[in-house]
This record gives sequence, structure tokens and C-alpha cells, in this order.
Amino acid sequence: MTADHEHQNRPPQHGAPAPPVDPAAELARLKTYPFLAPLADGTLKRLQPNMVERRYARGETILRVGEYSDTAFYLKDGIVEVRMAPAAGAAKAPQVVGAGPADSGATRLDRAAGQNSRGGPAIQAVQRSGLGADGTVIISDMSADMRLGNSTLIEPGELFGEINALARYALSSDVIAHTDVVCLAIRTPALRALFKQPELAAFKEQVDNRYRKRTLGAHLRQVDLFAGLSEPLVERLRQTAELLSFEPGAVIVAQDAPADAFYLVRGGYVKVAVRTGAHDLSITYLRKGDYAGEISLLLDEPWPFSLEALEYVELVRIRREAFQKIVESAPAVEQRLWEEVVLRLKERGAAVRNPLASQYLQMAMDTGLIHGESVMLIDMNLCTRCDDCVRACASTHGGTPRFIREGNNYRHWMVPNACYQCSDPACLVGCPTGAITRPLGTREVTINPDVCIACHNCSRRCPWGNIIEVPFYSPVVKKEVDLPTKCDQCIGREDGPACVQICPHGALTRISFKDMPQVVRTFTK
Amino acid sequence: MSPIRLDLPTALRPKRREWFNAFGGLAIAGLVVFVAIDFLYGWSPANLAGLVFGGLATALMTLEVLYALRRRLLVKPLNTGQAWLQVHVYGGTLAALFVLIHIGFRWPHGLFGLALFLLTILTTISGLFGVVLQKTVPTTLTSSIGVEAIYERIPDMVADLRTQADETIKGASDMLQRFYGSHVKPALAGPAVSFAYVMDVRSGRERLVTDFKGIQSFLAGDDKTRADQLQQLVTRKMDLEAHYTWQNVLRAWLLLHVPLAMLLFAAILAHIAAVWRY
Repeated sequence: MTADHEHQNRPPQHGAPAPPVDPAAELARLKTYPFLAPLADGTLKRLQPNMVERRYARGETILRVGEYSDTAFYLKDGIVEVRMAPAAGAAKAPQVVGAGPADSGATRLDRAAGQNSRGGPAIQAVQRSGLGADGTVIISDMSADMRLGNSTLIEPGELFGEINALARYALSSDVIAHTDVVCLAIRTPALRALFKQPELAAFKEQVDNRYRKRTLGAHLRQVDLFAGLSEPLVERLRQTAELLSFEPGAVIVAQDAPADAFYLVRGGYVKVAVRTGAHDLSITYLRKGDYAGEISLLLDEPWPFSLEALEYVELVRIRREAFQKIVESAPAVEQRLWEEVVLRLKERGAAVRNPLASQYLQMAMDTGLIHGESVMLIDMNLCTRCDDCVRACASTHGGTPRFIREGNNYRHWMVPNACYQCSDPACLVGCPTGAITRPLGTREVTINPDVCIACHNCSRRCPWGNIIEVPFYSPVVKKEVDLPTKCDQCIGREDGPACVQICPHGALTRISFKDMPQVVRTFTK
Repeated sequence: MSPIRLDLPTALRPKRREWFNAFGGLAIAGLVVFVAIDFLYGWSPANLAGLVFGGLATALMTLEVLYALRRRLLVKPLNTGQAWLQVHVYGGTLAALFVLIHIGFRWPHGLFGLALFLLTILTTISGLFGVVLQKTVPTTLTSSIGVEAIYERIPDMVADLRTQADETIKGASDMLQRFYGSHVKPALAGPAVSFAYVMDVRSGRERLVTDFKGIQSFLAGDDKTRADQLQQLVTRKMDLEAHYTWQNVLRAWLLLHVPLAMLLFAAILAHIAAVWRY
């Protein structure tokens, strides 16, 4: 077994937090971080519960490829190695570069990558791995300019993992302590709060610049619309794009506002609604990789609908002038946008004509079902409550069913407590042993009982309560524990999920809430 | 009153038109063959055509029996459960028709022949009764009852309601305590299968409302709130009990159908053995 294999099979370590100290000393410790120095004590006190100094020994894994994380790391001391997703063959030795100013990491990453071209293997690999089995865009969090199989080093003064933490992207790289490392782990709430502090505007700008420099180009290219843009156009976009964050409920664009920009969703969900009478009627929603604004810009009219953040949303804004440059320079993009305009206006018209259909979209947004890539639905008008589905599930999973035939009802449809296979699975964040995983490019989130230590992190994080705990003999802790289990869609079973296949009345189905027309068709059946 | 509506037109409407067409075609073809042969040569269960139809009926009934086995081999990817059920329903009906063709649509001779004939008819009718139930009851349960519950958990859920009711009544006035003892407690007993819910899925609601209205006029302050909460608990219990009753019915018809089907299959085997032997 190679050292690399050994490394991959070892559960990631989460670093030892510094021994507890009194609050005043902890505050003083936080103040030793130069980027936090401008903050008032009160602000730091408020953020302190979500910021902890961690130490990693040389060789320890800080972040693992494919995982989801809710933590960004500010490197205080030591060197961290970023290993791009493994390529065929052994990874190359890390390229050591000299020390420099705090901002030099991004430059070094770029230098390490050399002059990467659009069709380079790294981008191809990111594109390959980034496209989910059903077309879901999973955008890389790390620099796509890094060559596949290469590794590079990050030095003190840099932040890493922030894109993953903010926009819930699966990690595209392993991050390993190259030397003994001290870093500040900043959880997402604190990270968002830090970025809002006026005193840290320079720090935020530095982070944004790094994203713009490292990742935005690849991000743009993974959006179908921009996939074919020439290098100079992408470069122009990279320079002019603005990065925006919105809190849940924030209005991003009001209906009838002047057409001023094109928006690309980096993370989170955005509601698209049109005003009808006193209420807003939901038309659709946008998610990672979706965009809006082309209608107003192309038709030179005010916004025909509003955009509202359903949760924390990260956007890329491209101003009107830059957008028009693209349209002028890339006829294919313009053509595609016009097609999109027609589709969106048709959607808007259909929603206004048939407002009842909009209730399902609203329900999906209110209940979080929009996250579901494969939501189990049972038509209770057909279901005879025979529970063959549950028995089939149990038979397929060693006697223990992975779902409960209970849940919320909408009209005559039940949404049982079965994993939705979310686009951005919250359950994957922070698993201490890497037992719960979703391989890049797949839809199924699975738990490996051989590695799980029954800490219940995943079941606590699942917002829908769809991870159930069952008594199970754990080979890890060598005793019977309540082990989290969840629907894995009978992964590996030739004919798909047993529950769907076995239902004698065809009452059970699975749908992706990404496909809203299909959802509406199903619910109105 | 919300009785379970045995909506025959809905129940008889095929869920999968292609299955209906295919089996309908086979039924018509069988009848045409029977009429033609009967007209040309006369019909006998013992002639070649009669034996062929008897053999086809036996093959279909064997397939019917396999459906029960299929339900015990859930893990195996042997086509969809729905396809198996469609074959079971249409195949069973077609088998009954082929039995009738086999005997030339004549009253069977002998006690065993009569038993075989009656078992075929009763099994088919009980099966079709099940189809009607399965296509009718779920809709009524979904539209008329405000709760959804797993059958095995209903007794625990009702017990939980009793506990909640006992908590609610603590500290109540004597008047409400007496009402609780005489009306609420008995109403929270069970669950039991009740024929009343078979006749009317919302049975007993009007009486419940009247009883609680009656006591409300004698209550004041917190007791009014308590009475409201108790009424909600009893209403929920009634929902659960109606569910319990109808889920029982959805299971109980199998107690009629399956033994009949097993007897029929055994009788068919005996019939074949007897024909073979004698």
C-alpha cells in the first residue's frame, strides 16, 4: 500500500483545540490574529464561540476531498498542503515556494499551476467531477488552476476552506498539515459575521480577490452559458464581477427595479416571484449555477420579477456594461440568453395564469424540499398501507428499514421521513470519521457503518430528521450503539430503490425538486 | 355522514389501460375459440381444446400463487410489484374465465366438480372485492380522516392520547372530572375495530360535539380550555380508530381470499391428479 493510499484510508483528524483558558485570555489570543485586531472586544466576544484555535500535527488531514465543511481556517503558523483530487498515477511532490506577504498565497497557487489553458486537465477534471449524475452543478471550491494530481502549499496569513463553508461546495482537494500547524477554525456563522464588519472590509476584499483570482474563472466556465467564452472575456468578467452575500429573506432585486446587472448564484437558494395583487407569486427558484437578469438587460426593461434570498445566498454580480460586452462578443451566449428569456417569460406567464400551481413551489420553498434531489413521495390515494415498501427496504438493508412511512402530507401526497439526497447535504458537514459521504458526481449520500462512531453529528444536522438511529453492533466502538442510518436509494441495486420497485399499487415515486414542472405535474395528478 | 363510498366505476376503471387491453384481448380470443369449436365440433372438458383451456387456467393460477411468494422475496429485482399485482388481478380473472370455458359454461358434474367450480368463483369474487377495497378505501382514508398512522403504532398513539388526557384533567373542577370519567375516558379506550366506522368513517363526531357543547355551558375559566383540549384528543382518537378499523378491513379481506385461493389450488392439483389417474 502506498503512503497516499494509507493517507486516504485514514479517518481525518480534526485537530486538537488549544487547552481551555479563561475568556479574557481567549479574547487576547484572538486579538493576536492580525486580521481580527481591528474588531472591538464586544464583537470578538460575540463571535468567539464559533472561532477556535486548532493545532494539527504534521501529516494530519484538515479537510478531505468530497467532504462538506462548515469551517474556514485562518492559518496562523505552519504550512498547509492542498492536494488536488487524485489523478491517475502518483501525485507530484509539492512545489515549495518562498515566503511572502499575506496575499501571496494566491499568486503562488497560480504560479504553481503555471499558464493553465482553458482546456487543461485540471479544468476538465473539475468539470467532470463537478457535474452530478443528474446534471447538478457542483462547483469546485479550490483553485481550478491547480493541475490535477499536483499539490501546493499555503502559508501563514491565508484563509482556506471559506468557499466551501460559505456556499457549501464539496471539497475538491485534500488539505493536509505539511508541518505542525496552528490555525483558527472559523465556523460559517462567525465567518459571515466577520465579512459584515466594516472594520474588516480590507480582509473581506482580500478574500474576495482570492476567490476572483482562483476560482471565479472555473466557476463561470461550469455554468453552461459561459462554458465557451474566450479567455479574454472570462478575464474581463473576473476583473469586473462583484461578490455579494445576502441574508435569508433579503430582497436582492425588487420587481420593476431598473435593469442594472446580471446575477449568478454561487451558493444558496433564491426565490423568483412576481407580484400579483397584494401577494408575491412564486415562479421558480434559483440555485447554485443558476442565473437571472438577462431578461431585463436584453429587453432593456425593468425587472419583470423580484429575487429574494431564501437562505444565506452568495451571488456574483456582473454589471450591465460588462454583460453587454459579453453579449456583443459572444453571439452564442446571446442566442442562448434569448432562448432563456423566452423560457423564463413563458414560466412567468404560466405561473400568473395558473396561480394554483405556484402553491407547490411555495410549499417546496417553505419546507425545504427544494433541496431534494430524490424525494420519496407516496400517493395516499393509491397506498393501501400494506408497508411492502418498508419491508422491501428492510430486506435490502439487512433487516433494518431506512425510512419511516410517516411524514407531512400535501394534498394526497405524503413526503415520508426518507432522505431527500439534498443538493447541499448539511449532514455531511463535520463528520469526524468521514463515515457519511457522497462521492463527487453522485446523488446518494451514504453512511459507512464500519467507520461510523455513532456521534450523531449527521442526524443532528439533518434539518428534516431523515436520519434515523437504530441499534447496531459497531465494529469501531465494539458495542451495540444507536447507529445513524438513512436511505441510500439502495445504491448498487440494479433496479433502483426497492421501495419504488416493490410497491404493488405504483403509489411510491421519487422526484427531484429541481425539476419543478415535474413536481407540479406530480402534485396535480 | 361520510360512508366509505364503494365507487364501482372508479374501482373498475383500469389503472393501467395496456394491461386491461391485453387481458381483455386474451379473454375475447378465448371466447371466440370456445364458440367456434363448440359450434363446429361440440365442447367437452376432456377434448383437446377443453384440456388446453384447463391447462391455461392451471398455469395462470400457479402464477397467482407465485405472487404470494414474490411478496416474500422483496429484495429480488424480479420486475415491479405493480406488474406482479396486475398479472395477479387480470390473470386471476382470466383464469376464472378459462375455467368456465374449460367446463363449457355448464354446471359441473359431481360434488368435487361443484366444489372446484364454487371455489373458483368465490376466490375470484373475493379477489375482485379486494381490488374494489384497495381502490376505494385509500382515497376515503386520505380525504375524510385528518390523520395518517402506521397500523401497528395506532394502539400506542391512542395510549399516548390517554396519557395526555390524564394530564389535562389534573386540577379540573368536579363537574369536568365527572364528565371525564363518564364520557371522555370511555371514548379514549381502545382502539377497537368498530362497525360504525365501516358504515360511516366519521361516525360519532356529531354526538361528541353535542356532548362537549353540553358540558361547556357549565364550565368556566381554565376548565373551558381543558374541555377544548379533551375534545381535540377524543376527535384524534376517533380518527385513529377509524384508520385502525379500515386498515383492519384492508388486511382482513385477505383472510377470506387467501384460504379460498389455497383450497382452490389444492383442489386443482387433486383434480389434475384424478384426471391423470382415472
